[in-house]
Amino acid sequence: MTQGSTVDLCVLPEGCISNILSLTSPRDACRSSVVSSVFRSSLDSDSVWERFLPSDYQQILSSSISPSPFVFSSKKELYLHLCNNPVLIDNGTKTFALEKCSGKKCYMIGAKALSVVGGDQPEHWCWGPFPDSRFSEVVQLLDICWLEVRGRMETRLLSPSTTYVAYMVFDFTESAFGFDYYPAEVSVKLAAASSGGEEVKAAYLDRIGRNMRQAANLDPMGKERQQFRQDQVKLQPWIMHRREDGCRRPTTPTEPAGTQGERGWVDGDRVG
Amino acid sequence: MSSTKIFLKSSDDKTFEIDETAARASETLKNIIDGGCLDGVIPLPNVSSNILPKVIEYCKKHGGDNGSSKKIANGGVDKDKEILPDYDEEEDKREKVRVDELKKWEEEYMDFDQQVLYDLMLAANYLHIKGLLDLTVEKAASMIRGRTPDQIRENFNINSDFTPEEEEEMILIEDEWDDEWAFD
Repeated sequence: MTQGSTVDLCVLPEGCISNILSLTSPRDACRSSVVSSVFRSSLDSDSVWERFLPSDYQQILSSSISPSPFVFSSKKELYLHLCNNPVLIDNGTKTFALEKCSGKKCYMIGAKALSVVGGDQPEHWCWGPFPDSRFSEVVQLLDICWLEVRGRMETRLLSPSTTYVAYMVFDFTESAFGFDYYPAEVSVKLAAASSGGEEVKAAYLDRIGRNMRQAANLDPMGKERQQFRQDQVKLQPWIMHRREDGCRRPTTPTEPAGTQGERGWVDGDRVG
Repeated sequence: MSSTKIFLKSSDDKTFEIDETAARASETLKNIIDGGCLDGVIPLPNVSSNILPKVIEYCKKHGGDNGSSKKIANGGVDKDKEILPDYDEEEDKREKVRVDELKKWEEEYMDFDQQVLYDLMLAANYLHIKGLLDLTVEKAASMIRGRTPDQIRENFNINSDFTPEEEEEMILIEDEWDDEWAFD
């Protein structure tokens, strides 16, 4: 390290420092604002935050059904808003948000956009609003002997070169039963890939904190993401490669035939 | 083929020689050459004799391609693949070797302290050498990524210019962000 150097960071043109910050991550950039006032003033530059926002954010927000238009005084403000306030998109069937640390895209697929086996049969499933859900409608399981829920997500909508994790978000009614006895099969797979790449895991869709049992890779996320009151089961991580295409299907859960009946809520699949 | 020689004069009045093809890596020099108002020596009042040889070294290596190894690796190769139906595998291999060699060169070239980094970044900015500017900016970014504010200060040899009150406030802001980011 050169002590007492004559040239200082301040001599760099403002554009250079913004440029440097935009090559770090949102977290790094915010941290650097504590370093000195040069960094601090560069951090408010729109050119930095434009780089942290996904390249297609405007297109995504154009399908938003949010009542208020997105008017923000700066790109930084917009970025932070999208991290803390998931936006309903695609006719209200999905939400879109950013992961704060990295600016990567997160989606939540509402129950309406999931494929629920027997979902159209009122003796098995009941559709309606749920106060804690961000979606206008969720589905309540009344009683069924075959529980199968699938969600689909086009990989081109996800951030490139990113490890994604799929979660299932659900809650229990007072009278829910049947989830304690057998684990459900959960998996995530690339629809375009040849068969056999899918790894099926077992997870107990059990009440978090009560009678919790660890099945293979079951990882209850309830305490880590407190904004969701519903229980979440982490399904499976996968790595998104830039050139992959087709559809990812977070498949959740496929119950073995001839099991107990179940009751409960399904809200959505969150991909993020 | 011998190339025309260009002479560059540093801020401290030292003259350096460079081939015209190499000089064309700089947009600024290219414009002067193409403008035809070349009067023997090009004065560069913003570049000192300490840093000019380093700039010339970069220009020599890059001739006129104006790109870094990154740019070639990410863009050029793939693009060609899509355009040409019968893609030449041998050509692909040669290109890979070339890119690997260039990366290694860049790694060695960029091995210097933060003082040289500022000067080189300023020179690249002034002379409009995009590939070199990209390299220096990337190096500076790597000195920030994953570092604490104290480490960043040390890396860039800077002192905090905040008042103790401001400092206190900044620490609170940082803690707040860190709490929110506790989720892995």
